[in-house]
Amino acid sequence: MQPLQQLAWTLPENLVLSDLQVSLANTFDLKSGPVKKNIRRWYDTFDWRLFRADRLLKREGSNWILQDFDGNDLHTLKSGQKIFHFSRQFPESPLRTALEKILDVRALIELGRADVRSMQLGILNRDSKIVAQLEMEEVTRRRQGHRLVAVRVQEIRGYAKWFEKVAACIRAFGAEVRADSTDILRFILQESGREPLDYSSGYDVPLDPGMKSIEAIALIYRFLLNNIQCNEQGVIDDIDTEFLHDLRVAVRRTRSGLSLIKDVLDAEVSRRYKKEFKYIGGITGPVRDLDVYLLSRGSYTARLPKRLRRGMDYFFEDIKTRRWQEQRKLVHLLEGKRYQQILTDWAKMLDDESGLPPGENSDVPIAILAGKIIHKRFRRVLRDGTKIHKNTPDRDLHCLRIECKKLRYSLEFFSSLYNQEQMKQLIKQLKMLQNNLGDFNDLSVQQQMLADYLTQIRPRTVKSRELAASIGGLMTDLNRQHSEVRAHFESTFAHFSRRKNLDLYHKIFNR
Amino acid sequence: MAVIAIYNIKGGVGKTATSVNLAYLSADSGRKTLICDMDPQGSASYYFRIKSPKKFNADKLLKGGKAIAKNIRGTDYPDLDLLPADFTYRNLDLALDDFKKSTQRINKIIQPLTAEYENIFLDCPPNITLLSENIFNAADILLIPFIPTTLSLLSFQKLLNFFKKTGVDRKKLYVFFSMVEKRKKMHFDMMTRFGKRKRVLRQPIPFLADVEKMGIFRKPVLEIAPKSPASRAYRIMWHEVEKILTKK
Repeated sequence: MQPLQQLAWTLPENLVLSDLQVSLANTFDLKSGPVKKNIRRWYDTFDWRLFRADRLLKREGSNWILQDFDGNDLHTLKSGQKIFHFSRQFPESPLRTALEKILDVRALIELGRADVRSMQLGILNRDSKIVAQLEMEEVTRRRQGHRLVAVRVQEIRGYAKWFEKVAACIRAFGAEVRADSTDILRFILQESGREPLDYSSGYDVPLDPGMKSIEAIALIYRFLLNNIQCNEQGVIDDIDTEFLHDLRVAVRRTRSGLSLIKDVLDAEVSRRYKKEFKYIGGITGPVRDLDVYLLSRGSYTARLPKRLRRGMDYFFEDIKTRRWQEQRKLVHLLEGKRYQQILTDWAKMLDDESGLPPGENSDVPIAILAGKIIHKRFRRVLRDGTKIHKNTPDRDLHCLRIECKKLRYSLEFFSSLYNQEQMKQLIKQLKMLQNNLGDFNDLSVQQQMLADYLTQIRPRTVKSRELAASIGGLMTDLNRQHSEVRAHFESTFAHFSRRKNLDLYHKIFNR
Repeated sequence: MAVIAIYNIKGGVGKTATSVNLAYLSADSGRKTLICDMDPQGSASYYFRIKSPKKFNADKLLKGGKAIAKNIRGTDYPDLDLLPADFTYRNLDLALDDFKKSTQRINKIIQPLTAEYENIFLDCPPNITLLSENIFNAADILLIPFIPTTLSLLSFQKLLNFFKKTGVDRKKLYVFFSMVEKRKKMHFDMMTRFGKRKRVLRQPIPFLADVEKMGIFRKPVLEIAPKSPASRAYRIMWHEVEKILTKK
């Protein structure tokens, strides 16, 4: 069957809802529904996960509504509890299932709110049958009282001609057709200074091959600094784990830049900031480590047979307490003098119009330097990886992991200088190798952490017995997986260093 | 997905009122619902203020496909559409007779619509005809409104015999008490006699002025008087029918 048509408009600014109503009443018989007054709030994650999935989440009173960009309600939920931060906190419902898929571990934040007067209007034929349905909304921003009137007309099956007539009438009124229903959200956002998709956790700094290296790194560092700054408040308010994660990634990228892109920035300055960002990496580490444990609570518990699970609860309660303590320390440090000073100085230097203090290679075109850096990293990974065999100590795998990370960051920094498709593929291949090495490292760290934890347990209580049993069980299982991942390394590396990938590499970099 | 036919040999037993209100409830629970008005009198269409389109007739209905899709109309309620009846439906039997598998024609026409609608209601004309046989074949369940009187019982027996003869699966058949007046002794007696049988719905529909008002307001009783005992009865009955459908 033919899909039903719908059209949406926004009215010129000087008009209000009742103006349109009067004008329609001159042409049609109307059936007006009650005028509903509500405060409407809009939600999304900090990195716009809903918006990216073409979804809008709104709440009016205790009604939550998930819409698509055409303004159709996909799921609604009425809930006595009004505030939910995470998808898992919503009561079991289709809305929750939909949100879980999109939000994952990120929290919802309120993007803005507005007073909304809405009304349904039916256009009637001679039999007083509704032959077109209108939805009108008058959205008033809270602060300056700016207003936006939106109208949506929905075709009723079998009454296409009426739909056309109503559409013509609204057009004649001077209304503008809306591309989608995100315009109201954009209108609301004007108040907060944000705009859709203004943040993403991905790295994206387009460079120009002929650019001087010093200009290129200024762009890179500026982007990363901005990422650090916009995640700061979220870390302090402890909204979700990803603020800290993203902040740390930006710090790590900055550090890699400072050590990988040599002699572009003045050596003394480079040395200072390597140290400074290492400090930031250090102070943000403990909370992130504990977050990782808390995030893997489900998978940890699933590893254990039922009777050993109670001990896990004690373990995670303990981790929670420790995280709370570490978070307080972190907030203290982020608001502290040293951290603030580092970022102020760094920002001042990046914003200085006379440019960054240059090193020897500062004027070399970035494309030339980039090729050299990537080549060096790539060779290093191949060389070290080939050396690893069954009896190589674990330490060497950890070193290779670090090498891979350096290669990955170099590829990402400079990917805009090369063929995007091929670059994407190469990064994808590298990612597979990194996953193997990452898993291996995580499992080593986790086992070590649990072993340390075990030594701190005070014996002779029932609780500690259950705790120790759980941890023992968990360690066994982690160890089993550890050996599995290790055994898998060789084939993963062989896959990465196969002819096809090397050819791809040569094709991209002309080497 | 289900095709639900509301049928009785007798007229004036509350078929259309039941079709309209149950279809309304089905759509109200968020299921895309179609009500096919098969009765040339077009009462269901009337209740929804929908006139038969000028170019629509019995031949178009039996052609099926696009010819039907074009003539489906949206009602005033979300997720509820209606295929209006046309006066030419009075000759449906003759027209059906021209088709090869003449007892399966309606089934064949309805099947493609099940892709679009989760529940399809067939509001049937009274009589036992070729059309009724078609409808028995097309439906997943048949709801028979039954006024608890001896005459009703007689016609019900006839229906059962007919089912036996034509080989239609009798397990499709569900009876419910309609237009019940509690104070009448005969109603009460009949209900106690038959009420506990298999495939008799527990919830009776009372005889109330609210239901008759549907003709004045041209709306489902659930819209006119949502708190009326009649509305309540339809709600409970729909719940019962839904349960049966999930078991099928």
